[in-house]
Amino acid sequence: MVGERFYFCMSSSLIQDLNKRYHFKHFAWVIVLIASIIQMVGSTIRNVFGVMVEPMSETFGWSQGEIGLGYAIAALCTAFFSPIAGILGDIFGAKKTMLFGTFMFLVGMLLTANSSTILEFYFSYGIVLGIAQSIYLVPIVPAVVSWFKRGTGIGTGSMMVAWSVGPALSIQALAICFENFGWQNTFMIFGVLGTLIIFICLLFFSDSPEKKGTKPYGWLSSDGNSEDSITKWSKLNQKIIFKTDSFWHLINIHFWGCVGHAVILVAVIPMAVNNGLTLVQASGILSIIAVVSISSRFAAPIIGDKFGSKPIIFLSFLGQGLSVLILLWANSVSDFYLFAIIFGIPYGGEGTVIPVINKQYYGRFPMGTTYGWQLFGAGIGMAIGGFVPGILFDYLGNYNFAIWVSSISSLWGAVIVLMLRKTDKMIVEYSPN
Amino acid sequence: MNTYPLRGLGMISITIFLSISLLIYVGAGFSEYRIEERKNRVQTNDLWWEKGFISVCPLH
Repeated sequence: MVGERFYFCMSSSLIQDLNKRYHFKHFAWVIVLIASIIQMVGSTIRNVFGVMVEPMSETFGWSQGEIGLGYAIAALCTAFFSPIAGILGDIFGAKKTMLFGTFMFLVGMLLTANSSTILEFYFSYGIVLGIAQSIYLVPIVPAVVSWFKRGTGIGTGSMMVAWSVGPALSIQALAICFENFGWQNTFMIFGVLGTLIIFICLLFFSDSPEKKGTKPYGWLSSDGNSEDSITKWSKLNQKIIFKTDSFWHLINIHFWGCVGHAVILVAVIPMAVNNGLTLVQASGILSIIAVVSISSRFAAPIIGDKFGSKPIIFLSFLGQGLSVLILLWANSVSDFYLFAIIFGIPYGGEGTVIPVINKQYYGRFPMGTTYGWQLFGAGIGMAIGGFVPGILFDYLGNYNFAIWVSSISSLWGAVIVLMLRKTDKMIVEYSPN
Repeated sequence: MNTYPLRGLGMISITIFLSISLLIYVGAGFSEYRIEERKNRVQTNDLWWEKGFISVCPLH
């Protein structure tokens, strides 16, 4: 009894301490929660693509290559539409843009469920859902960042965890639905339910603290209203960002980082199976990478926010580039699992610091357009990195060349990171609107 | 802050050049493999891009 009471007192004082430190009653945390839920729902249908290949192939007799092309079209549409989605978010606000994206998501899901030819599938899944994904996922990260004057790292880190947790939770649920209801009904159910969840979340969403009539998280009275003029998007100030080297370097860095890990995410399972692992053992590699990367997805933005983003991005790229070389000698379960642990840490930290570095360079100016262009680089990198290993394997008979492509891409990305400016102060001077 | 982001755009140009070079090299290698396979009477279709990749790649 005494023990229980002691435990209760300890936990309630811990909650009070945490609340005192992180001000959980601030509306910014509601925004983080909403963004996490939307990211989890929205990213699921892309991340669980592998589960639907076999049922679709069985239903229509399409080859795996034909179905895979639908994925590639969706990835490219998302990449090419990301800058446009970012601009729409900056001009019309994240909430309105995401509502439009949610409507497109519903249309895309229902059309995919009813498609019966491969061309219908390419249109509904590839084009409509590909564009929808960029419209409802690109504006949300800049919107969350705009809610933080200080503590951007903890806010971003909490949200980024959803990228790993969402697919991990939903992949089994979707696999069971495919098994019991068929893939068409699953798409309909998930389309309607997903739309409903995102729509309800958006009802409580607000684009920025200014629109809500409150101050951003971490605002101090000594800050005054100095940033009020730059919290509204303007073409003139966006041009000032375009004229910085860092804007282009960050697109470039995103591209090389994504080539680096896309090669591995696509090739590591067949590579492991070729080395004698069973499919279940090989799947464990991706699971370990997903679980390990949760910690660095959360921690990297916080460390970057506190000590500067440049060193943490550099170390992540360096770690990603060097750790993949383990695969050149890996030939047992323990080798591959050791690789997954060592690779998962830098992989998780590599992309999640980007919103923080944007904030450090460009302040609270709406960064939808900037972030959209960075995701464009990432999308093209994912497409190239996902496409190269299979072809290399077909004619070389092994993945060694692909591993070197991955390693050199990440290390080259690390070199470009060194060209970035320090993150201790903003690198632009905005013109008053 | 410079007026024109020469370094940033220069690095993007290098990226585009390297990516296209990699795709041409990989595409030409794959095309060469497919043509060899056909010579060995393994059934692979003659695709329109095979000769294009080989003619563009200086290493194949």
